[in-house]
Amino acid sequence: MLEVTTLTKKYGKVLAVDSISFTVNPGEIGVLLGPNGAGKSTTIKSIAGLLRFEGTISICELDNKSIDAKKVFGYVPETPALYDALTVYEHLVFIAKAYDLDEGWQEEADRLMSIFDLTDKKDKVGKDLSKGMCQKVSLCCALLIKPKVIMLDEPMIGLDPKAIKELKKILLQLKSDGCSVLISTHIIDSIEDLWDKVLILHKGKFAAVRTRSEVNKSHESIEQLFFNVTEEGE
Amino acid sequence: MQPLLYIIKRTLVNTIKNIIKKPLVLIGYTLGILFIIFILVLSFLDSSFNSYGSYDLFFSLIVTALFIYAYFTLKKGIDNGSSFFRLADVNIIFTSPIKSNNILVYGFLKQLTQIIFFSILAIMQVPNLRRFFSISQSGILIILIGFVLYMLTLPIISMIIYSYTSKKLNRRKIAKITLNLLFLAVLVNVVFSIISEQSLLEGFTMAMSNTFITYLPVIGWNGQIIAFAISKITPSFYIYLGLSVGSIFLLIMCLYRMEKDYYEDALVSTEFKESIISSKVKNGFFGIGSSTKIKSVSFTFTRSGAMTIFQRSYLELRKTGLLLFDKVTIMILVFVIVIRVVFYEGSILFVLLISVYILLLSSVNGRFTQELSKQYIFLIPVHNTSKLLAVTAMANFKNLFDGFLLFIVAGFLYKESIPLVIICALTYASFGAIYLYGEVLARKLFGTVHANALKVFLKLLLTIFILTPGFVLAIIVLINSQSYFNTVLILLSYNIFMATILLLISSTIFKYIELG
Repeated sequence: MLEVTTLTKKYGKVLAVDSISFTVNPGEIGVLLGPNGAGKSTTIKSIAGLLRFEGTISICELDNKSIDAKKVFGYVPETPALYDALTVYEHLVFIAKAYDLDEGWQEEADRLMSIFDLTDKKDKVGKDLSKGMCQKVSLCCALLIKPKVIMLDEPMIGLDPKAIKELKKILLQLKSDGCSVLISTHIIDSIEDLWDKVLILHKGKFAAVRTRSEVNKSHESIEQLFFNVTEEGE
Repeated sequence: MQPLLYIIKRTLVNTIKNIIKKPLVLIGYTLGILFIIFILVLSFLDSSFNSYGSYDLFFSLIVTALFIYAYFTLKKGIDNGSSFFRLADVNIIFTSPIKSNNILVYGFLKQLTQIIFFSILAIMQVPNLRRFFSISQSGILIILIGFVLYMLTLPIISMIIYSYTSKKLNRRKIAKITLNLLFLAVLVNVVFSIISEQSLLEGFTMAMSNTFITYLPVIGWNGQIIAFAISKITPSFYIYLGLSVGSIFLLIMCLYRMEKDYYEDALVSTEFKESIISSKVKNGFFGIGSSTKIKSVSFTFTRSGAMTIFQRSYLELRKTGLLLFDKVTIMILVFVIVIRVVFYEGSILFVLLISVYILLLSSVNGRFTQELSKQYIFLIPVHNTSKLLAVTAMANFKNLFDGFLLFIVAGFLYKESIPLVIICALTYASFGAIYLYGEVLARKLFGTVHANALKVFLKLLLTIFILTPGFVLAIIVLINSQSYFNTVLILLSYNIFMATILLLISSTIFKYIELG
């Protein structure tokens, strides 16, 4: 479970995120939406343990910056930066070592590379990969650890239609395995058939937090909801 | 630590494999190494080199360089921090279950490998230093040790300062003022010393080699280490070495104890570093970094065709404030004054040679390359030669401006005639044109070479190859006529001829986008 409580982040005098709280339960897919500058990236980076912040963030009831929390946390950043001189497979070897994965990770690595059409590119180094390929490697790295909480920042960008389809399948599989999934995106259509909970950030605060059943009851599409709450008062 | 060492090991192995796979790249690296060995051996074989600089003068010059480097590094550090990491480290390692102190050590090891590249540049300057100081063979190693230790220390200090000051805006202001005051104090001390000694050389040496500076942590200690390059090694060398290494360990401990959660500081500076790297890759050395302030400027495009490219470059330079007078101008000017006043040596011809050498080093990546990262330049319906002329016009103007500024000062210092000053300024600009169009040609020839360092080396070789006939002709004219004017005139004529040929050959770079 991912639990964020009164998360506040200031950059100098600028309040980027203002005391937001939310949870993504096991087996739930949460979607973080918001216009540019709403505080999504700050929230994502705080959860990933890259920023100092006020409030608490726990991953499976562990402090998000603790080693144990990181062992069960997968992260796919918006900009998939890889090591220039490491091959695709070596990235996965590194992850296996860094996360101290159990024997058998090689089979999982092969499976993931096969799903994302990376098998024939396993010996290519990072700097020779296209942006889409880098994104696929980044996804493989996050998925290899079999996370209990996974956070994906704009995961569909740069992926080909087949990879998008496979990723959606994987996310649904993770959900059924009890993983908490948080996706941040601008492309609302891309997550239409996935989400359980939508969190709409606006000016550092939640403008709306709705479950799928709540949205269905209001006969509103997620896109309509987004525009309604983000354009209010503007 | 094992997973982190795995990254370093595999990076090294894959890089070597990549070099071996490509014979041309291997030849390039071999040539590069042989070239460095050659210039070093040559400089030590030639006993005619002057070695009259004193120990105190050497120490003063080294310490001055260290002060200047520290000032700009720490100033940047207060604003943006300093980072040993790349974005891949942030995304992959920072989020992994690896202890943050191990990650810090890993970053430190990575920094060591990066310093090797700068060390090569430092080694290449040894023959120049040997013109003035009696640097021993072991002196190269000593310079390298001092240089590497210094280059390792400053980023840690920057990180500590950033970590402390980033928490409150007020702290940042205080840190900036303190830094400025400290360096102003050193400058004032030098000025007072010069006035009281009534000698620029003695005053400068006395101020910069006084006991206080000798014992000054980091700058003084590393200065002392480097200064042993021209004197016998005594136990003091090992004491300063110990102090320098010890201070690095202490600073790391301090950083770790002070702020265990350094990820945010590293993230900010990594993102800044990444923006500079991508700016360098895409836009060349003079690209606009994320920290560059963009001024609001009112401007109207009055021309059409290729001239709009020139007007756009002019507008960009006005907005960024990077017009004609910049760091390179100051660097060249200071160097010439130092050569003349400190060493009482040389002639206007010597100034010309030194300044075109500095210009060559400073134009490693030209301003024009930013054009090639965008599609517009390839699509504008104008003749290729006009495009190249327009793209490089601003750089040529800058070289002309620098040339006149430099040789008016040099002409005054060496009491030379106005025609010689004018022709030297024009020749300086003509060298700039050769470097510029030579770079375009190098991009055409070596554009696909994978490693930036090798690309730079091949470009330098190509430039030297282009310039050699001109220098040969100039030497013949100098021997026969004993006239500086005639010598410089022949250099200017040759350069104009070569620059025109290079311009015509290189202009096809805009014909196919993949060439860029």
